[in-house]
Amino acid sequence: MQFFTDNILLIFILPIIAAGLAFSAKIFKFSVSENTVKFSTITASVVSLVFASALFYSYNFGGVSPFEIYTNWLRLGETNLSLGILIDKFSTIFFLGFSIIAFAANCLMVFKYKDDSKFCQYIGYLNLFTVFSELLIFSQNIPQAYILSILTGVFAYLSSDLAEEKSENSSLSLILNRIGDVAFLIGLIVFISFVINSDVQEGSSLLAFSELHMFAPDFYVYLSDAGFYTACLFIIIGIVAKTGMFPMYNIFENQSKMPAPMYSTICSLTIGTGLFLFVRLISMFELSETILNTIYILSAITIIVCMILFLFVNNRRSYYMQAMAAILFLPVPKTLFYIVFAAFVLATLTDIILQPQCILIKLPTPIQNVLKSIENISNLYRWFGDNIVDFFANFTKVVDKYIINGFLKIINILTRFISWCVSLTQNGNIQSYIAFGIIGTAAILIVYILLIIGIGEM
Amino acid sequence: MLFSFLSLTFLIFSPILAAVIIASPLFGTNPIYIRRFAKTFGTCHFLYTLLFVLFCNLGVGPFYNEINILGTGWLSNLGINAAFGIDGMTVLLVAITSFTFLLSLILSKTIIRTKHKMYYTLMFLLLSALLGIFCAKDMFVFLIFWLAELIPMYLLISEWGTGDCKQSAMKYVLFTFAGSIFMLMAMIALYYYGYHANGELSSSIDFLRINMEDGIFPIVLKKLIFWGFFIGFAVKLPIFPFHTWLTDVNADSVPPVKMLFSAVLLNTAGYGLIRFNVDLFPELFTYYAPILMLLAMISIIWAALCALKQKDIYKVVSYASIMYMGLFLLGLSSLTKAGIDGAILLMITNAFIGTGLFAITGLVQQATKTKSLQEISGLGFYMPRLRNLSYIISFASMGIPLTIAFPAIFLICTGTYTADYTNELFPKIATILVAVSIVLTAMYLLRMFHSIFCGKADKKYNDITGHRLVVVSILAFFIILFGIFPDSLMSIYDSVSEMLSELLRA
Repeated sequence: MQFFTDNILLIFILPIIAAGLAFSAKIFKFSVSENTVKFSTITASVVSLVFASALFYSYNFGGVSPFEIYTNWLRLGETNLSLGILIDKFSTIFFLGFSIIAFAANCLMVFKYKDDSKFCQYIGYLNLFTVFSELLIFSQNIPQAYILSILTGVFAYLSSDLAEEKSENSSLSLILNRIGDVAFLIGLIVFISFVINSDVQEGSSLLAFSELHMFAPDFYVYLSDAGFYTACLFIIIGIVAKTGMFPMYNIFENQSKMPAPMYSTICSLTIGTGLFLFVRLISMFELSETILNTIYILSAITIIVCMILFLFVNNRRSYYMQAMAAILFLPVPKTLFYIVFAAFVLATLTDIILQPQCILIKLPTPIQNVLKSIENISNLYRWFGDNIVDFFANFTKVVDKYIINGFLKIINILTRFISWCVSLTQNGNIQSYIAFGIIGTAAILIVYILLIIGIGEM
Repeated sequence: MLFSFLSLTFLIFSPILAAVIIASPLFGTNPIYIRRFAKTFGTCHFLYTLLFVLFCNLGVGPFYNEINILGTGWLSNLGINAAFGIDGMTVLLVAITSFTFLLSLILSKTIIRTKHKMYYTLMFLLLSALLGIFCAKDMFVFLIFWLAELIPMYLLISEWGTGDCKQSAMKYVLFTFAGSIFMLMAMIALYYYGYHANGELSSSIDFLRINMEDGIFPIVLKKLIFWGFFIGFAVKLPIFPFHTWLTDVNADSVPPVKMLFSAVLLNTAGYGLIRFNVDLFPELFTYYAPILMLLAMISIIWAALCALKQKDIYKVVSYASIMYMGLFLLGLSSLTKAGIDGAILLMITNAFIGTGLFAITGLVQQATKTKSLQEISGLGFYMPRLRNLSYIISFASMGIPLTIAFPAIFLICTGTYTADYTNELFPKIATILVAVSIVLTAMYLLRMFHSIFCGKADKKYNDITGHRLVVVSILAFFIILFGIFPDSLMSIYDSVSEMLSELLRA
């Protein structure tokens, strides 16, 4: 058992090496054959599976106590942000699930999609995506989980970007992901500021998961109900974006051009990591009933919307996955693992067996239109994006224009004022000359400043 | 023993020697020899700067001071000494300056086709002026180098640029000069009032700091001097509303010059802001911090929104630089240790990422012969190396983890949120706006890179190889390396940020 804990880094290093070999084979034309790529990726996934089985057995049935290690990574004022590993029952369960999915996906890719022209790149991204997902479930603290959740989103985007013909779709996924990341970041910073100001945490790394249940009640008292709800809501938005819940349920739809194993892995592992974060933070969320209600309402809406779309529209596999994911937020956390695994199997089956048959129920046109508009929420995002950006871009232009025009008017007024001052000096007394001197100098300075500002983007 | 031959004088003035050698008639006009000499000298110079980094990193001492060969006798009647010194922050800026210069020299190979002798001479003169800005320990010596940089930069933009390069070069000089007038007035006021107050003429920054601490200056005069310095640096940083020159200069100059602009020129203003506004007037900086934060917020959002609608690839990257420098000011105005740490790290980040983005856009323009986004598409199919390296650098610009920008932005956000202002809500709104700007960054960079690399190309392009691949790969490598180990940089300037945060807290 000690061997597996001591060499845990091996499960992260091997996929990275496999990814490196895959990219080298394709991009840099090094002397790496496709067979080497296949061998390395299968080896990495097999080793990962062996580790996962051993850790799962020993932590769930062998009575091994949780293992935690961390090192300081980034100075954050008076405190430090750490990177580490936390192995406990919960993480080993998820790790086993993730390893099985990764192994299945690698096998399917190697045997079914070996002739794909982008095979090596897919393998590279698959390995990197898997390794960051696995690192996430071993995260020792919240900031580390946040960092790794961003990285999983990035590699999901890169994979879909490779497959997509229309790049706007994959861009939209990444932008939605970034919105989630940013919301998570704000929630996280509220947490960090609380920990820094109140010195509540001692002896462990900043916001360690193992201590969350201890300082979460203090956090709740410190922020009051409304503040606590707002902070948690930001984190929930991050999780919602990750798991593709309402109103961000179209993130997986845009990735459906990928080969089935890639798509299924990315969907199930992304949802899995979102769920992992939800369960890890549950000791905080459960302090406020309003937060739990928000999660339930979002889950219920997602289930309804995605199930309706699954039944009545063409692109069904993503909606099925998301409806499954939303169901996971309702029951007790212990059942989560089984449903994540089931989601992967079902998604793969849906893709391979059900997709070609496309059994659709004919509905009246108005209802179809309503469904179409729900399905194409991405168009709504685009509409908002384009119009809001246009509005601001025009606004900046208008402001520029008015600044310049306004300044020109001021210059005009100043010129008239100076003429008036000059007429004053014709009286010939010393006060008039002093007044003229001061006003003249000020005017020159102002004109100079206006000239600097006035040369705008126009 | 290892550090016994360190000489700041040599470090600053040796590029002038290189310029003289290249410019001398004995050297000849063969571009191959000129390039080789320039690259060899640039490499040696960079390695020499690394010794200074080692000096500051190995615990030999956080500060390194030196009175150069011109010594105290130089304009001593006026109290002006050609004294130089570096600390943990400066040494990194010096190293990054030398590093960027080396990359610019390497990338110049296929871009500069005419007047090689003049080009490389001006480049080395520029390097010397920039190093002088970072190392000067005397206010007027700082100003001399600050203005000396204008001449080579003006010629580099106007002689080798494209489009309205002459107008852009003039715009740059006018803006910097206008800002420098305010700075000069502030310096003269500081110098003479100090003399009248205690009877000693000196323009040494250390001496002025003591004067400031003594409280001999009237508060109104101090405020005027503070704003004089601030306007001088704000023009070059640049922040709203003084930013318009940067987009024009970057649109019309050659890529190696753009790289220097983004990596070094903007950092000189950031450095000046820290050295003069924060170091000499900490209490006024604290007092005006909300106004500075507001300016930074406007600058960030304005730049991000403007970048979204640009059609010129260089203008998009220019606005990214403006946004970054807005973030720098935001971090600084948070007055917290985390914010200041983030601001200094952001200067280094901007150097790497700005250089990388300009190198990429330069290579794209070289391949397609256009800089209009509407006319470029489908390069990704023929140029996979450039595409992948572009992804790394653009992701870094978006602040994705494992790249150098992430720790900088994270520190700035945390520092801003925890800022101890009278109005508690203001820093929190600023943090949310920064967060919004992160999403906007993703939008405009993805829009640009998708436009460049996706879709169908109208002709076949050759992927980057040789020195071009080396330059972009090196940048991508360091962006990731320092993203994984940000503490390796932060430990070097930690003593400086600690000192600054203590000053601002006091």
